[in-house]
Amino acid sequence: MGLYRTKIAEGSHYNHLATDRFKTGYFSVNFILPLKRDTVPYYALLPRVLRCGCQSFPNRRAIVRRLEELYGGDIYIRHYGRGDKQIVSFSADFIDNAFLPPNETIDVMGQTVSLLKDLMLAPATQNGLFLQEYVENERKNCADAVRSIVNNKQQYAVHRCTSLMCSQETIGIPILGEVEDFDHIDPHRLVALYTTMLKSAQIEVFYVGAEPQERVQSIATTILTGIERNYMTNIHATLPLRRATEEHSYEEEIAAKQGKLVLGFRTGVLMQDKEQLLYALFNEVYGGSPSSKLFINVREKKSLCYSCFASSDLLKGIMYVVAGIENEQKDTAIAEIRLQLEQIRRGAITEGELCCAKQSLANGYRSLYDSAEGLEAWYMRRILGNCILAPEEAAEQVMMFGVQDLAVIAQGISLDTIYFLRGTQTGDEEDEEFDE
Amino acid sequence: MNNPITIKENHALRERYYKIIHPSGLEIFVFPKELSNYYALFGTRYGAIDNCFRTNGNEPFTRVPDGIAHFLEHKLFENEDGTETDARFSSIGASANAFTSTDMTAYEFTCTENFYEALEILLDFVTHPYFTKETVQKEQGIIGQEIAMCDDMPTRRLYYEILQALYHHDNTRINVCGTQGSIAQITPEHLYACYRTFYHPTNMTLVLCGKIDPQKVCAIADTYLPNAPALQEIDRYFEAEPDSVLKKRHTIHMDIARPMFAIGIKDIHSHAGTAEGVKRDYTLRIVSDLLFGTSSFFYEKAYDDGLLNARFSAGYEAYRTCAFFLLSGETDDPEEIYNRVLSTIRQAKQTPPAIEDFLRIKKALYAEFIRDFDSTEEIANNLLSLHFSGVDLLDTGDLINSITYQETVDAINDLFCEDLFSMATILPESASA
Repeated sequence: MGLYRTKIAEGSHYNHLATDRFKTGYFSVNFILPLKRDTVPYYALLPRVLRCGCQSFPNRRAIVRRLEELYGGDIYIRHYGRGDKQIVSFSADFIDNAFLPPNETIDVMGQTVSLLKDLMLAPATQNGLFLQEYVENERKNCADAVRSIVNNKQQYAVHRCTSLMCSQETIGIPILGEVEDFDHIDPHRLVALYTTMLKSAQIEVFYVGAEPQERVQSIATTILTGIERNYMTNIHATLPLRRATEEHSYEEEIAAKQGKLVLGFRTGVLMQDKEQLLYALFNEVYGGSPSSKLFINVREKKSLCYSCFASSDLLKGIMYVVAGIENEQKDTAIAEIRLQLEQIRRGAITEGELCCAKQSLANGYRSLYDSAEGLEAWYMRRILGNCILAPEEAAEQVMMFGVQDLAVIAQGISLDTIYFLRGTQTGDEEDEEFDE
Repeated sequence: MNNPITIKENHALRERYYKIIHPSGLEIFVFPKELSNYYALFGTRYGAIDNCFRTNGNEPFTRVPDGIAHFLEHKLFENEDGTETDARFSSIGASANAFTSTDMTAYEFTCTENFYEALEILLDFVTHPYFTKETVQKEQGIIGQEIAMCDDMPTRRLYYEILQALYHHDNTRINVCGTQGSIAQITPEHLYACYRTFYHPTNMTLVLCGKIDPQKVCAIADTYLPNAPALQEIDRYFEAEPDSVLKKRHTIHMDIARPMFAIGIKDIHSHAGTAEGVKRDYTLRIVSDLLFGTSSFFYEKAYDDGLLNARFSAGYEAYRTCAFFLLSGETDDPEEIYNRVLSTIRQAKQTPPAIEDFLRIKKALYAEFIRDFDSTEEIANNLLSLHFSGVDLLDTGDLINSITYQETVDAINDLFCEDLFSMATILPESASA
């Protein structure tokens, strides 16, 4: 299943992955915009407002009912960040017509994509603005989403670490915005930014499934023809830092039973570099799987925690090492995390460790072919990093690397920030109330 | 050895599987599938609820500490020769995991190559227990951290809080991980006793999905599984559960942004763990979507009023000993939600939902069933859990299609008895001051 990619309009590409392995199809239209502090809250709000209703199906309930009629198709409108970009994504998945009950003649894909198009291009409006009650309600939900980050302590700790580490950088802009951003939303600006998105964003359309490429490409082209475009090539890419200048250390408290430790590193390698796959292998050896150095040493040998892993984002040039630990183990855990990195820098990687990491990584790449969303996410990152490569090619290439190559990568990695979220409920105190 | 192989096929779905009864008593399902991922699932009918048992009717019951099924699952990954099971799998590109739930434990691996080698490792490590005092002690540290981590997860806390409000005795109220106190009591002897009882091939099922040859699977099974060991009847003891809830309301506090609620409704007609129970399960999924799903009047109104957000869910859960209906989410006013749930149900009993709504939702449920065939992992997990309840995966589409409007209306009337409602809430820390 190779990627067929073609330009269908200025700044717009159609990406087709042909496969008959699924009983479902997947279609998405993605608008890629620069990540900016002042537009983030608006683009975070926009998908929620659009999901509330369009001209043909004016409320959420009507939309869901329509999707149920279309054999439970799903439509997602999301906003997320990738490096120095923000993406507003409209996606649909739907059952393949071949698996409908006998005598059913409906064209599920055609109808589901048509609904997706309505939600994207024909929103419910009044006097040129989005419906006030939708904006008002969703504004609160956006603020609520920001407040809720704290519910997941690990996610919260990584969020805090990023805010502190990248406070002066584009990649440090919080993708959900801040609570106070949603105190006031200018309804004119919301419409203006929606129009900007349609007009000038880079557009990537994806399809994964068994329909002929000509048919889906023609649907995609027709959708884009309905948009008045004024695309200007995307401009000032802000490259992330490649090296930390000094180490920072922060500690905060939270009412929780466990402390969360996050170490933020600068990776040295970025997505567009030729070393990106070698870097991926480094991450795997260090903390990417249950046979990695961090898992084996920090969890299994030292029993310091239930989980300890490393995860990297090369569009941001950041690696996080995350562990949930008892407060008293903070220094021991940091020392062990440092030691394991030092081991790789010195080339202390066994044949077994190297082989495990290669196999595990290659397996992960090959397994992407079973997931339409997984394939889209893979190619999207590589389109943004300007380094398109198929997962199966990546699976072959990682086999070539040796211990010394990894040592060089590890030497280029630098620790920037140590963040510790101290749990303050470490005793077994109970705080229950009983009514009745 | 000659293993009898039977084939089951569903033409409309374009799917089939092979079933093998191995001489050891183990049932093996091989489900061929042209996807990149192979997936293997080796499950036993043994979960957090099975804490009191015997295999000889003349002997007294053995009672073991809470959380032991999950503890045992962790410990099986350790080998007598000191090798790491995870490393054995990853050296051939496979990735292994395991999970323990209320009423089952399962070991799984996925891979895109070297499937038969990985299958050998799976059968080898699950059939070779090795527990010592030292290794048990080490695991107490790791699982202790897992318990602390789960205690900090509000949705998970809420789940157990509502179960503890609903049930007086039923073991479903036991936290799968146990508590710091209960896991401290676990000894190697306990682990061996549980292993011998519940990891007997006759209590287990192996499900394999991918581009797999059933004959090769038989050959591997012959190597790793004992030939025809004595059949073993497991006698489990469960305390009788009254037809009432323990508490109508239950509240705790945590460091969260917005209050969270879970409304539980105890099902005293569940037929849990049987084929009839599975049909009820699907029927109540339709009920759940009709009354509380994203296309329901209840959800639309509560969402528009700002009372609920997208993190709301409603559904039905059935286990071997019990079943319940659960609604959970975030709201500033849990009592208002509770009252609206009650009035929605009263309304549905008076004026049953429209038949078009029923048909539309049934359609979507059927499609959801079809979608699960796009993943080797979903196929195997669905096959195993349905099989443990006596239902065949390839018959499940017909089972869904056979649900009638009247059955759905009847389910609304017999499930929702107001005495069997309970609500647990988590309030933000600041609200306790």
